[in-house]
Amino acid sequence: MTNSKKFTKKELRSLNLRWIWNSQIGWNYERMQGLGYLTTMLPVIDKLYGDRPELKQKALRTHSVFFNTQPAMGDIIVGMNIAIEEQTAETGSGLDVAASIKTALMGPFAGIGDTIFGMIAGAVFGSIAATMALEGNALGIAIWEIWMVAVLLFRTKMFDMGYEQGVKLVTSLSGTMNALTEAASVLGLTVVGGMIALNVKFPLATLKMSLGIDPETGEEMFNEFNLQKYADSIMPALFPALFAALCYWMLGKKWMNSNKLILVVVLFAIVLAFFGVLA
Amino acid sequence: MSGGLSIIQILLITAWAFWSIVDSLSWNIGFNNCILACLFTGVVVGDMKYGLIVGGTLQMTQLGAGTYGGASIPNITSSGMIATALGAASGADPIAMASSIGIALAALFTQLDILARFSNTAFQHIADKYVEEDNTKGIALMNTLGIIPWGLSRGLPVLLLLVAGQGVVDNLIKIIPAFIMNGFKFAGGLLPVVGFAILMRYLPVLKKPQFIILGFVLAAYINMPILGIALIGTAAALITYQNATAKLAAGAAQGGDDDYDE
Repeated sequence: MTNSKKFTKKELRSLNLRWIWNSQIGWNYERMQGLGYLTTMLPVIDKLYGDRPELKQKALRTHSVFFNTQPAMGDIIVGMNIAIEEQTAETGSGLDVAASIKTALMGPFAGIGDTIFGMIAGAVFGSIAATMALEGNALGIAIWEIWMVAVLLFRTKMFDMGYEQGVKLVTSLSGTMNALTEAASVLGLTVVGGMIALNVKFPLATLKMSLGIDPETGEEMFNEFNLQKYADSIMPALFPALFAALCYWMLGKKWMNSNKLILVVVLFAIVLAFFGVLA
Repeated sequence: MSGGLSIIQILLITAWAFWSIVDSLSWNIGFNNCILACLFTGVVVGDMKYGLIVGGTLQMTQLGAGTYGGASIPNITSSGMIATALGAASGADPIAMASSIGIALAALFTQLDILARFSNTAFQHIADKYVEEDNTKGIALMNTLGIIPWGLSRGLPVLLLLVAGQGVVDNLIKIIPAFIMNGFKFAGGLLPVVGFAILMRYLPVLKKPQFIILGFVLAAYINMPILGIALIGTAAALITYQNATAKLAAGAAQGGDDDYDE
């Protein structure tokens, strides 16, 4: 009898895909991924509690609460949750455990997932793809595409990890995850340092100053200031570095956000172009 | 102007835009990727390189940015597709096109993202009723219906602007003074700084400045291409990872000893 309430490998994989597809298409401000989570769990609820209306009702309510995490990290949580409820299907006592695990993990997991899958991957692959795209080369975007497909495939592994290891994964994983996040941020920092020099284009103009008319030849004489040459003699990519530091500092201020910063940069460029400072 | 886009071109680009957000919410295999979407648009309108440059310029403003915690960010994918389709036909400079119309529309479209997230609250409320009625099919349907507001928030503006926008863009390009268009071109070169500044805010810049210096020197002084810098960064990341896990193992052993002593 208990055997009939075990999930087969095929069922588990389809639940995994169910989460990947449903997790966010019904995203809304009230429960965020809550509706997607509930929808993912419907076959689980039917199978485990379908013959006990009261438990089924409790399960439906338990899983319709607020939920939000990074979707790939969500695979681990869903896997864990299914394992917990499967083991305690007899009494349904796993529902309360699952509810608290979901709530406890979604925040920290979102932090890790957003850093690794969002920021670092986006920065590294995004900068390579954008640099190449600006040269009319689509190879960079192909590399990024491979990464995205690899992440999708890896999500089945994350789900299995969550299901097989269950709750004990949380303690063993947290140390490794922190190490991984730290390592990923090192990669991110190195790439950002390079990108500032390579991709912030701050081409300074050569200013001409009239020295008046040469009395002997009758031609106007100029004193030329090659601003870019002066800047380069201090340090190559000096202005990109200073400008990046300035923008970094501004973004830390309460009166600034990324949308305003874009506007500031565009206006700044138009003004500099107007005065002929940029070449 | 060059007769505008054909119905088939408009429908293809609109369909991609509709699906872009749905893909990014689920399988995430690239439809919502700004460069890929612009490349696709470029191919559809017959100027692949134009799409790549518009996409690359816009992508630079949002490296590593994401909708973390349900935040709405400028939609450079939809705006980039529009800038590519209309810009390629008008003959405007792709970098200036991206940093003017591309940036402006992306910011405007943020509101549509918020509207979609808000609209889905209605489906949530119906789903809540179905929970009480044990109607599991209804619950799943409400979740799936979320696709409609999501998709329309991208597909609709792209459709409307592709149908009606060509004349506006052509006229804008004629009216705007050369020095402003020139300024937008420079802005295209400067704007990547925004992407980097956002990213740096999330990274331990002040705790580990050595790595940002390393990357900068490799690029500025040695002119190493970005792929090489990324590989050196990967090497540095591996060292960091090994040190961190070694410390972890040592810490665990240490902790075990302490327990034993007590």
